[in-house]
Amino acid sequence: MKKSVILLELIISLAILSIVGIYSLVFINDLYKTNTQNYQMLNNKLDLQTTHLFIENKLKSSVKITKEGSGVSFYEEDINSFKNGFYSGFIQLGKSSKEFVTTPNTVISKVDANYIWFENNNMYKIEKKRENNKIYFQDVVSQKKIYEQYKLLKGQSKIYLKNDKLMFNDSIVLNDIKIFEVNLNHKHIRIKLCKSACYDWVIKR
Amino acid sequence: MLLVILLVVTFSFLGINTLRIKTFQSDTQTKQYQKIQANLHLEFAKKFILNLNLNNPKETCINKIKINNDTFKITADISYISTKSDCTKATNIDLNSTYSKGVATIDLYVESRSSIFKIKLHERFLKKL
Repeated sequence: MKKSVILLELIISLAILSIVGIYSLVFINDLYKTNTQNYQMLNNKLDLQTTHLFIENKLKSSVKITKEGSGVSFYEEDINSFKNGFYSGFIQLGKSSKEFVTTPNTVISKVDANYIWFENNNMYKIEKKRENNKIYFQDVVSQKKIYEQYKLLKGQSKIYLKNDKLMFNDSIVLNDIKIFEVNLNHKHIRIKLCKSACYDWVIKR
Repeated sequence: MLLVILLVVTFSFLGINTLRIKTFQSDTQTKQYQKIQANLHLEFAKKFILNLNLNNPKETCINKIKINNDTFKITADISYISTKSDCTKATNIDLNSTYSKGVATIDLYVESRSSIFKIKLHERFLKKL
């Protein structure tokens, strides 16, 4: 009698422990799945936020932004050289011609730029001469429309979609992108990007 | 007993993981807000400086501007490429002053005062004198 009671107690205890164990495992599994999903969502969100900031940063420091297919092409300013004081952005109009512009406080030998840009989107290719305080045009024959302030540009860059990958020139920015569409007007750049969900980004020009 | 230990250990790891994700999330959000705020301050300071008259002959030359703010340090360093000769940070050039009085080069800095979330923005721009 005593042995059978102990055996019954043992069986009941084991049954309770098994139930508790199974429920705990189910609970842990759910918690793990929720955490993994949250983590992936957070990673995706961070990826998108970073991409948004990257594109905004690139477009805000660019000129001649044009739509190309569903993507966008633009010329990046050489911001670092400007901030480092390698070129001043100011031209002495009286001392400039169709061959070169005179620009004080400019160490052109330290600048790696290919174009000079003026207001109203006038842009000319520059010659890589090492004479400071002067910027030479590559085309010395044709007439040019120059202004007192200018920007130096590196070259043309593109952001576009290729085989479900968002590309910046030849580098991959984001994977698994279904739609990337850019629309331009004179005040804003509107970007529609679809991954698992769609996002609308509006960038002020 | 063993099961209890196993559960405590598992939950501890999960708890740490969850806390880590939450901290990461809140940290990113705070940084984002700080950046948005710093950007707004930068835009405001830029508009303010662009509306200033930096070429008033009756006033002394402005080389530095500081804007008081509790959460951000907002400073602007100004140098000149002009015919002005009274400024300390100036490059004097030969200009026909009827057409052009030169430019001021403005380096604008917005720096967060927070010791945890450090953010410093810099923008350089030109202002016609």
